[in-house]
Amino acid sequence: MLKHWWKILGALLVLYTLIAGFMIPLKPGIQEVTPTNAQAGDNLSLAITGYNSHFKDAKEIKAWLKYDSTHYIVGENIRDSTQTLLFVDFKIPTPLPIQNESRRMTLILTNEVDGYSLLPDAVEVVPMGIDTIMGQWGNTIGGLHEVKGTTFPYRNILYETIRNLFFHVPLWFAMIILFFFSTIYGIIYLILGNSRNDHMVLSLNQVGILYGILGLVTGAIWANWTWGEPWSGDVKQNMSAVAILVYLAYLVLRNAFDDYEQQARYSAVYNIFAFVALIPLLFVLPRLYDSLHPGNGGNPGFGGEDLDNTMRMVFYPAIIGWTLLGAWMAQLARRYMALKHAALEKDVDF
Amino acid sequence: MKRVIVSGLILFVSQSIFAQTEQSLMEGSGKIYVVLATVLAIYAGILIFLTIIERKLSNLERQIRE
Amino acid sequence: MSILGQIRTLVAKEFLLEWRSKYALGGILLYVLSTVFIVYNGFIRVTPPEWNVLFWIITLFTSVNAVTKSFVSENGNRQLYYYSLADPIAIICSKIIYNSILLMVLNVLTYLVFGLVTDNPVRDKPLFFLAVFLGSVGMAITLTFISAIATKARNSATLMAILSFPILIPILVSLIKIAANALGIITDTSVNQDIITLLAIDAILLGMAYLLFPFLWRD
Repeated sequence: MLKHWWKILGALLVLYTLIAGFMIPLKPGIQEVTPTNAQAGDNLSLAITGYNSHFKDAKEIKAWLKYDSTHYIVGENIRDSTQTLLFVDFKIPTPLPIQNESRRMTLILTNEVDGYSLLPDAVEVVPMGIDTIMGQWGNTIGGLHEVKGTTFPYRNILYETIRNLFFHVPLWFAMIILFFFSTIYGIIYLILGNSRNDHMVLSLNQVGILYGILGLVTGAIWANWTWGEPWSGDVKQNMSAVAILVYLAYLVLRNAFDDYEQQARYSAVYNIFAFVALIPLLFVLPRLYDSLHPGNGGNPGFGGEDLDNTMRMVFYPAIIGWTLLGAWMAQLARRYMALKHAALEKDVDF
Repeated sequence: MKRVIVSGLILFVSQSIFAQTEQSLMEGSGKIYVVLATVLAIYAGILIFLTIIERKLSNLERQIRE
Repeated sequence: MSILGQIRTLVAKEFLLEWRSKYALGGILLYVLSTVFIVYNGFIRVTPPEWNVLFWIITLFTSVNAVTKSFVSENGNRQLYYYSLADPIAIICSKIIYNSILLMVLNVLTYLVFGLVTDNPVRDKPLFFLAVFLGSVGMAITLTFISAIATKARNSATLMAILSFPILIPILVSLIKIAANALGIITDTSVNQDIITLLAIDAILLGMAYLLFPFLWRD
């Protein structure tokens, strides 16, 4: 039992990922508003659809439309009809601070149950020819509610699929970690020999390829329902597909030798060379291109907005858990290889 | 041949039923079923891997016994 | 004999052998010409972005074909003979130097022929030739090393393509981006960064070839 501690740890971490990843609710947010267009001078009656929100329970709801950092319109006559539907009136003043130019305003909503939430570019406002002063600009907002609680951040388009961060993304991290260790075992094999190390390389690569393919499949599912198509030619998708090609080539190379010793040595050399050649592909080149993934095109990696502390508490254990689960699968494959190797050697002896 | 036709038919029928419900199912409930599909894909992948090892092991066991 | 002396002798030997078997050199030149004409006849009008990609694809295939013969076509007896005479480092270095020069000549030739039959869209010629130079060196290192692996396996020629194409993609991606600058398709201020990236890739591959080749050269 004691020597299996890492398998138990891996299984528990994956279980934790599954439970926490599904159970922790999303922070309330604004799903959409209608109408999305307005003219200066309008008395705009905005219907706000909330997500996970509690408009009926909330006593103190406030709303603003933000034109720029010093121009806000205060929402009036706030009336909720259900927990997720709210009507607010905005009197849009004329003239606009910047005339002859339409502009998208951000909706800010706050109440004591849900906390505050934003919807960027909620309403586009168009200037009007005649100046009829009706509303007033406020220059600050105050009294935003901070609500403590364990929630995942709310993102439009993503909605609940933000939870895929614990299932899709760790597959990539685990794949890289498995390939890294297969490279290490390749080096050990070249120095020390011993078929056990060679089997380690092969089994880790097999699980790495499995994780890579699963990463592509889960990425395609996720992308289909958020970015709109399963394969959008994103640089990270392409580069990851190339990485899998390299390791498939490794499998082909293994089958092209007759002699076991040659097979192990040559494939170990290719394995090391290929991993090193992949480093610029996976870590340097994607940063030079625009990508739909976070952390590309000059963006920082997992920025504060996309990965808050609650997500980190599930995300990092998820990486370790999936990696350990992969190592367990690799160990099963390696033990099979060792058995087969032993059986074959016996055949030769007799 | 008969099996191919039957399985093709089943595939076609299930596809056409699924296609109607798929959109509303995946888009609805905050797209939570996209997460479910992701987890199921990983589950299927791990099962396939285990099945392959299982089959290889059975073959090896048979070879050793013979 | 010192390693440098060995390298010089071996490179000279490669050129001598190439010169003696002129038909092999002629074959690869013909390969360049026919590929360019097939592409030209297929496209007739080539826009600069297409020209850029087509040029590097032609280059890729020419390079794979040209380098395949460096180890793969040598028979085992001759390799055993070298093994008894020279240091493995000298052998891989001489092959890489020879193949780099060969690929540079072939790529410049591709450029001339392809530029002649289509409208030559290259504006910044020094930058483009820098890309050709760095690309030739990078491809020569990768392909020479892969050919050393593939030569011991069955189906060496097929393996060459399977093993080398995915590894060449980082080089090719940076090359296409640098060349796009030279062609004026995009104006990128970070072209220096791309050149440094490509240089780093070349250096890493060379280092790996240097460290790993002795393990291939043992039997």
